[in-house]
Amino acid sequence: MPKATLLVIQGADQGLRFELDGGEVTLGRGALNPIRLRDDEVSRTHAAIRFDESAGSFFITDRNSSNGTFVNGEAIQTRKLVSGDQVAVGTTAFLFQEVAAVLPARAADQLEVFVGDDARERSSIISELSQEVGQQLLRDATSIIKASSTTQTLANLQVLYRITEEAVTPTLSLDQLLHRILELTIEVVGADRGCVLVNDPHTSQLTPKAFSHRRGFAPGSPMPVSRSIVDYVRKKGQGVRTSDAPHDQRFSQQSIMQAGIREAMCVPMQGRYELMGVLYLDTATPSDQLPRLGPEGYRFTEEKLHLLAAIGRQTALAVEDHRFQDAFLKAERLAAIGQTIAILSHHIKNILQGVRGGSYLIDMGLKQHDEDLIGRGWKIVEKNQDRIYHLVMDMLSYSAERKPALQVANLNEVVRDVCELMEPRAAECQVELTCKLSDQVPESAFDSEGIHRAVLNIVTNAIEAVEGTTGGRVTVQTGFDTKSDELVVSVRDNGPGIPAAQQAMLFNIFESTKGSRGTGLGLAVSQKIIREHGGDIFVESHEGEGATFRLVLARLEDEAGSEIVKR
Amino acid sequence: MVGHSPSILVVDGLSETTAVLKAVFEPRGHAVNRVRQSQLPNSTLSAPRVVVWHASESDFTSLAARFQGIPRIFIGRADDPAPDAETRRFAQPFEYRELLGTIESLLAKADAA
Repeated sequence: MPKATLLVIQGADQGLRFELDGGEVTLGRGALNPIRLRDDEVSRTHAAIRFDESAGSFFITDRNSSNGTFVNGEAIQTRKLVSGDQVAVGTTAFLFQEVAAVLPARAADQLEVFVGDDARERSSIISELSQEVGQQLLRDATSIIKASSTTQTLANLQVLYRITEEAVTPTLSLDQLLHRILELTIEVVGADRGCVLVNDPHTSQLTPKAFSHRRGFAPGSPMPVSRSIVDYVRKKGQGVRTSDAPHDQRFSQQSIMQAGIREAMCVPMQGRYELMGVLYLDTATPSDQLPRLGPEGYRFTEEKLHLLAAIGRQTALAVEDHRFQDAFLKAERLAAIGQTIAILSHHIKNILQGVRGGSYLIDMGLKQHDEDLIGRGWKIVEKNQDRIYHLVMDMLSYSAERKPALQVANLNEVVRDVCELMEPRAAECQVELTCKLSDQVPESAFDSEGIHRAVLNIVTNAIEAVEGTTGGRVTVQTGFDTKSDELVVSVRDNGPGIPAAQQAMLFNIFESTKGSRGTGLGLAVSQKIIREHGGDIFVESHEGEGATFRLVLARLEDEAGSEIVKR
Repeated sequence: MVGHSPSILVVDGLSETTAVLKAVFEPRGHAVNRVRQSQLPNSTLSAPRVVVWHASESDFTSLAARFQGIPRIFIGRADDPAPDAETRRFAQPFEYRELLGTIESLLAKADAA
């Protein structure tokens, strides 16, 4: 099954990643879209993406949106998508990536690194170029390229520009990036084939990372790569061009000659701090076929060596940046995993402590034949069992990319259930819990279980905010905004309020203002659920004046009848 | 009034700790109260005989100043720094038997003094 992803790189949903698996997927502002965007500039159903079996590609189609759909800056009606394409709708931009894209053949299988006679092979070098020239060329390309024509200069500049662009485009893997650079290089330099050998940081050995050839060239056998030339380039840090072998007597018996090599160029890929590898190109087209390939043909010139040196430098920087990014990502991932484990362990430890307390009382009650003590202990155990249940449910709700199970229902029923469920807890905390249900609330399609959890988390927080204060009150109210066609649940408490500085971080995962009592999951989960319904949560609070949380979600009618179940 | 003269004061932390202490000590005539540190400045509580506080939420310095000379028990994580020499320390998860034993000995010491 074809797979691709759309990563939101700009807009309110930045960082979200949507998976495409071949079936048609719509994207838009409406709550029923599998790709739902919080973007007012996006139409309700803005565009659709589907995989075309016959073309073997994903296609995006605009669904008569108000503001249009753009691929790489161009307005489109229908367009094939390729990895790296940027899709823009409203103020949101995505990066399209095919996950199971057909990867180029494994480079190592396409190459044959051979060891010949060092002296003889090195004697074939007819031109050498310091790698500084490549760097200089990048700094002042127009003055350094000794191009034979303006057209060639522009072509050279264009390829450098394209390589730079590829290098900064987020790609799936280093291998894919190198393959793309190699394709561009072969095209502009006019080589038959080429490869990139990258220095393995662990073994210091050169590893084949990319192989490619020009269109129309059929590589019958593996590409021969001279170990002598590669070692020379690595050692000297210089780019080299070897002679036109068929006309060079020195090559008559060489393996390089047997492989049909006419010319080869090899340049170092010098990074900021170390040599990252080498870039190796060759031509094997027989001389008598060259005229058919044009006047410039497939001949390696001094100019092309200059250009290749610059490309080598660019490629090295790309490899280096890729490694930095990988290292950074790995460090961030490890830090996040560590933090998650530490926080969850802490909460589980708290729950365990509670269970131990309850068990202790039960044990004591059993020994003293005291039923009251057993009952008190059991109540603590039950409470902690409830806590671990909610912790697990919150973790599941937050982690899973769940699609709301939409059913037509009345929001009042869900809110009433939450209030009834929380009544004993409120009484235990000496908090007055009031539930005001508006009879104006119409039926709507929503995920009852999800909304129940979202409201429950907010009400739990409100009760805990006023617990222990004199005259603690929590009011839960439903409503319907006819103008915006939105359902509202507001939860108000008269607790200490939330300092302005904390409000910005309230919905961050594992951010809790409740110390050891809070998991930092509740609000993040509630926000996720409400956003899955195309809505949002708004907070209003001033220190000392309590807080009001408003959960707002769009009323959904039977806009896609088959997807909504009538309850 | 019990609420205004607790023998044991629990500051912050899990309500379960308070529930266990209440179940064990109140039948023996020791009042147990729980308070949040943020509410302490406005509270009318008289000095308790033992203070049990939770490190993750409470500010040690202000608590130590408020309850100077009163035996203290600190409940925190294993890697929390020790507050001071006078304070007994427990790392979660701890055994309630040990906590109760420590409180009993501190109460006995306070009675003897």
